[in-house]
Amino acid sequence: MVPFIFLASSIFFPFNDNWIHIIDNVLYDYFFNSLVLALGVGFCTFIMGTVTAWLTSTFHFPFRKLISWLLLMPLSMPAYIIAITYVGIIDSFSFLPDIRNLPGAIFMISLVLYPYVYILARGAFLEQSKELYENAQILSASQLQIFLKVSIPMARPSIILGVTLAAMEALADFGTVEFLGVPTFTTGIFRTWFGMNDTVTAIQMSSLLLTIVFVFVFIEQYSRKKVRYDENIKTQSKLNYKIISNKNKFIVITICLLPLTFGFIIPFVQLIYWSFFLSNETWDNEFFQIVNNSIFLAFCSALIILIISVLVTYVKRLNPNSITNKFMQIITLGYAIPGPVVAIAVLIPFATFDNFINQVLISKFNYSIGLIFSGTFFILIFAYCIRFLTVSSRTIKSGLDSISLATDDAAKTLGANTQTILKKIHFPMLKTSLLSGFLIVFIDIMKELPLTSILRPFNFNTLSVKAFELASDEKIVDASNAAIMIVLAGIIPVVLITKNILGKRNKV
Amino acid sequence: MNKKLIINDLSLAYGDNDNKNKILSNINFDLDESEIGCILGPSGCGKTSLLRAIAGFEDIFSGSILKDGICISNKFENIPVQNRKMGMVFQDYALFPNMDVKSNVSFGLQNKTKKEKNDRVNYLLELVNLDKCRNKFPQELSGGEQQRVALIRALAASPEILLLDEPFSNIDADIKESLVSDVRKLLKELSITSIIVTHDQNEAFNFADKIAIMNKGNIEQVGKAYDIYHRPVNKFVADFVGLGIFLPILKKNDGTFETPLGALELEKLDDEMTKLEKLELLLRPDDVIHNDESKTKAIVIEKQFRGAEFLYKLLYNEQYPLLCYAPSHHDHKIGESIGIELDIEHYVIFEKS
Repeated sequence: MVPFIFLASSIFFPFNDNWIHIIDNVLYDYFFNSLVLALGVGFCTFIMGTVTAWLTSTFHFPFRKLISWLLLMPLSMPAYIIAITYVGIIDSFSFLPDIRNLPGAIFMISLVLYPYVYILARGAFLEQSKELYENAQILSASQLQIFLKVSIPMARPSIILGVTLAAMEALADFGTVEFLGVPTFTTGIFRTWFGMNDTVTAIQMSSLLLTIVFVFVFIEQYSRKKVRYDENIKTQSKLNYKIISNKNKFIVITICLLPLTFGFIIPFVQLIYWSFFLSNETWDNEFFQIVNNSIFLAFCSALIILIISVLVTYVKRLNPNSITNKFMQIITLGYAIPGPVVAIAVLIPFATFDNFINQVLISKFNYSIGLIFSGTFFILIFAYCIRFLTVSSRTIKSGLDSISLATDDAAKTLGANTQTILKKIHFPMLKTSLLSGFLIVFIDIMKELPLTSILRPFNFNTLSVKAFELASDEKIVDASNAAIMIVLAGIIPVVLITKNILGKRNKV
Repeated sequence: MNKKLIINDLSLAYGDNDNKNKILSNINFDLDESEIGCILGPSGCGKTSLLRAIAGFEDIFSGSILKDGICISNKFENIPVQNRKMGMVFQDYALFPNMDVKSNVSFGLQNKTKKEKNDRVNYLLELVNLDKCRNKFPQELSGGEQQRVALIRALAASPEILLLDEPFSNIDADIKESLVSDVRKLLKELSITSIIVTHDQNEAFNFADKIAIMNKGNIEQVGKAYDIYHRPVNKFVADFVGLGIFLPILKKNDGTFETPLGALELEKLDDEMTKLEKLELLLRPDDVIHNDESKTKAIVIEKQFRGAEFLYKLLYNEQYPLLCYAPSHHDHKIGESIGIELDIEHYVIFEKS
């Protein structure tokens, strides 16, 4: 909470020369690039996501199930890794267009984020009723007309939700735009902070970015409500997959394979090739040390975040109207806040606090204990909490919501006390949610770049930081080992998500 | 004279001290050992809240609840749900989805040995013909089976009072009636004091010994099914339970009482009632008898076939609607004029509003 009050209060800090310089020269660029990036990614993911979702949910073609599943794979690829890989590829084939520009960044980010739209749109398409399609057919609408006039409008809340999520992630992106040299708000904040050493201006820029983010958050939450509303209309009969001619099958498969090939297969194969044949980095002790660091950090943080989310969700369940609950709603907005903004919001107050303690100690006892929080794991994990608490608490909440309050009451009338209820009913039923909440956060932290690189303790390297550093030093090929590890870790939650979706479909 | 359960002037309220929102006020109700009580009322009348207060889920605002003469709830004290020795069957059954049938049933038997648990579970499963389902999970059972599992789960620990919250509302109509009487028979065999909450009067009539009619947080009438149907104490009860229409009564100067269908018999009239100015007479469909010989005629305006009988809606003298049951071989057309006569054992008269 403190970090955000701090950010909001920054508006009252005096604006200095750098601020004026930024307004005069670069703010427009930052603003323009960030906005175009978010909108562009929104648009591209909308096209890629809805088209693939519609094809895989409407037509019958060979390998439909496999392709529906594989279409999620690009999710395992962090945007900065795919950008690094493509830059490497383009460097070796000079006839390819350069992607170190805004359209390139939009394309790179969209390639790995379209599955957001794909998952949500596909779910919505599959839920749509057969009667509706047949009705449209009787009114002699063509397949394409049905798609444009019935399917899409009906799935609109889900699609908007997916597109907004993708756009927010694009807005929060740091690694990709930094690497591709596109000046946006996030890189601007970073540059002002570390390049110009002007913390005040960096904070002020963060508040500005935060305001834009909240607009997106508002859209997202609004469409989420709509989704919930739509879910109430349950349909009776499921749609059959349409049989199509062989030529059309070929076209459908080709279209579906396009995002998959560019978003996963090409970069992944390239990474493996580099890693095995060209990389100068060996799988030595130093590398394993970094792997260890990453796993250790992600494991501890994910565990702490899991415990906090369990507490938060239980408080919510027990008193749905308490003040803590409202407060939690604010805190769990963290996922929408760009990494550098979280970093600055966390680091500055703690640094001030550290300095204050030291000054007091020096003036009173002539003794300094050094920095207590800054540059420690504590502050890094604290920042992770802000950023990832939402992810895990949403997973746990959905699990907890499936246990009706009447179940608790029933257990009580049977003489069970709170501990027994937790042990015998809640824990067994929540096991999967707890595990997936933990894993998703674990992997997110493995991939996380800006927070880790800014807040990590001195000399503590992780896979994501290592990969990015090597790539920034023009040693893209050498970054492949670390990148592969991250991608492999990223495949786990994709499998989890798929399992969830399939599980849900089997139940219906 | 020892009552199993006594509810004394109970009130329930939500909200803070300044802004109390009363949902139950001055509830009085009691049950003898092994008696089956019913709380019947329209949705939103507070009947489930009353049941939850008895179970111990709600703190009460004033009054008290006594079990075997010992106070279990009052304004200051609320014995925890776990210690009340009450079983409860929930509307959606609330079976534990992570446990199979036998674990669900034995959940309340925590301090028993394995053998005791097993014997008890087997006994209960046989009691409700579910021995084949012991290893199934709740999702694999039909609605009726789930309901029976919920019932024996509540009975497993031999509770002193069983509470049932709309237990039959999710059951298909075709098996509901037999299930209601089966469950009643079972509870009577086990001679367990029970309270059922429902909005369905047929369920209440078939299931309970004693019915309390609730409306807007108050109990309007407590009594046996027959009394509630034939001697409702006010217009709400008369309206809510069973069908009926009201006929205006004209008070004459010579002390007699006239209805459009003839004079009332003075000896059947209640003195208290006759002092009031404007009166109405309740006519149930079974108070109006169809007789082709009768000189009093009414016109059929609607009819409903109910198998053994017809429910006719008639219009008498072009302005008074009447309801009448007639055996189903008396099939009259709409618009036809048929003979009727009154056969009222007991007059139910209310002040006209």
